[in-house]
Amino acid sequence: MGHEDHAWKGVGQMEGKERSSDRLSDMLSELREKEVLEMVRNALEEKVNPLSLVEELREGMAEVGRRFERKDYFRSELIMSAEIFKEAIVLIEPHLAAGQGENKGDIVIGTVKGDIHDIGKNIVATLLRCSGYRVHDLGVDVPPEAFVTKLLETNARLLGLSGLLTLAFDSMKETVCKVEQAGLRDRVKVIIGGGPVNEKVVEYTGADAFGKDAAQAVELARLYLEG
Amino acid sequence: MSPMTPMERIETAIRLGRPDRVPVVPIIDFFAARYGGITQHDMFFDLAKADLALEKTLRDLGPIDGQNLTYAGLGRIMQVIFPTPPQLPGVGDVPPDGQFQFVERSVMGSEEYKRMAESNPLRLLMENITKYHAEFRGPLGMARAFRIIISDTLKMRGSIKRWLRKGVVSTVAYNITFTPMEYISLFLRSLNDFVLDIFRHPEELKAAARALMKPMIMQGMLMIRLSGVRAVFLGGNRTSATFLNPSQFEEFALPEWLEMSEHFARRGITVFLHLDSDWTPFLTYFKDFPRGKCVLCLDGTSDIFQAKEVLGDHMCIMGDVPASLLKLGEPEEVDEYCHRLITEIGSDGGFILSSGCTVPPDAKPENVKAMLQSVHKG
Repeated sequence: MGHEDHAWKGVGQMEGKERSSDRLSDMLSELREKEVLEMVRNALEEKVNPLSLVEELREGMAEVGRRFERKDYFRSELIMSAEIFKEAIVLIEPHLAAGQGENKGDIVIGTVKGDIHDIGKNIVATLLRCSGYRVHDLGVDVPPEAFVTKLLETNARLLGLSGLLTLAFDSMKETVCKVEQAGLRDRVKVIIGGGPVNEKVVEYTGADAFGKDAAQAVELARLYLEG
Repeated sequence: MSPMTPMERIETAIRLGRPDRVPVVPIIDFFAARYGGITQHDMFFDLAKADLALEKTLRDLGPIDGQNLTYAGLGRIMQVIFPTPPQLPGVGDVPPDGQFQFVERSVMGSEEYKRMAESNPLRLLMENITKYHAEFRGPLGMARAFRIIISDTLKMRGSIKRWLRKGVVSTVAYNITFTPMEYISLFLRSLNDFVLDIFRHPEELKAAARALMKPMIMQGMLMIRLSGVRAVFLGGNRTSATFLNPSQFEEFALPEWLEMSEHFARRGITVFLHLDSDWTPFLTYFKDFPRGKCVLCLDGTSDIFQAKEVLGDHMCIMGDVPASLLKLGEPEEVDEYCHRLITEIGSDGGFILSSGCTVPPDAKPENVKAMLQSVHKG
């Protein structure tokens, strides 16, 4: 397909089904990295509203999430789509006026004390960012106090705790306890995730819910911050 | 009829026969250290202490037929053979009773695949090691590295023999190796970068993996020779369905899983496919693996009951009491789950009861006891 055919047309402006794959959102959901970036560059040159580009990209990510839920996509596609999204945002960001770009809510996230596994946590953080949340990722082996400090500093209403080892259950519990002691528990929802995490772990740690995968974590964020 | 020995019981299950009862073969070193009153650091670096801790654990909580992978005394070797040493308890900033974990990071760029593909495979493996371990560079460094590997494996070999005399089989000793894609994604590239490489540099990645096949097989064969145990542990996680889609698995991972399994099986070496994370969508692929010569070890994430349906007449199934159940469950729940495994998967043989991956250090002792004793119930 030629470069000219790819001029950005915006949501719902393409004619006919056969051309649907020319939509930016479709290109992203089909992981066509080069085409996404080329289209974004062209659109920016044509002074297209950068926010509408971000919206298209988010729509693409939402479709990736739906495919993941249907098990048409696996985690590799989540990782690749998030990477393309990030690259596109890097191109778009300089064109956004200061303060422009919606923040759907602040979220503090990290792998809890004693655990350094971060594959799942990183995917969740990236997908949350793609969905429009401001994510404060504290990294791995994060002590409970650091989560509390960040919650106070950002006024975030959602805390995401991740861990793969069983020792993480205790660190999660301790973190929830510290959040409570800081008087924040009423306004902060706590979601947890990681390989062995299940309903029983939610009960043990005192968290509010768990996400069995990254897509579910995004759903929970939507529920708690926008619901 | 006299009862089978633990070795006969395990061997019978591996060859898809029906032993006198289901054998129980957990990975128990981490837990035994905590229960036996020593630190995780001592378990990795002081074999005599680790053996005593295990002895106390088995005396109190019940006998086992064997141990699957053993970590006791493996600390120094782990520091040598892995290009990015895992986080080891008591090493660097890690507390002595901290937990062993792999560090998730890329130590090379994707542009290095080409060089890997063109290198002499053995030199490549040595380069991967010495690049990040200055102390093993040059002929003297190499000699130092080999001295550590040989002296520590001989000590562990002695321990394995002593345990066998006490009726505890070491199924795979410490004979660890990886398929090239698993090795790349665990030690050379972070999982995230590895996945991006699949999309962006598929041919370079495959060429590098092809070059790594020989060294990975050599690593397995060397450990087998040193331990004297004719079995190998192939660790899998990153090429599972938790990360890859079926077509990526077919293209990038399946051929090398198959090639390595066939290589070892042809030489009479039992292949323990230690598959962490979710492999359920990939189970049918394992029908092509050598029949009765591999053991499918699942960690509680894959559907082990489906594995029995798909592969029950093809390879021994091992697993999968989940770590979270051992830590948070009650003994009755553990007993109930083990009973279900024993009756639904083990009743016609070809099954070994085990922990899903390892028994965690903080498992409840009464839960471990319930697991070990479940095989003795009628």
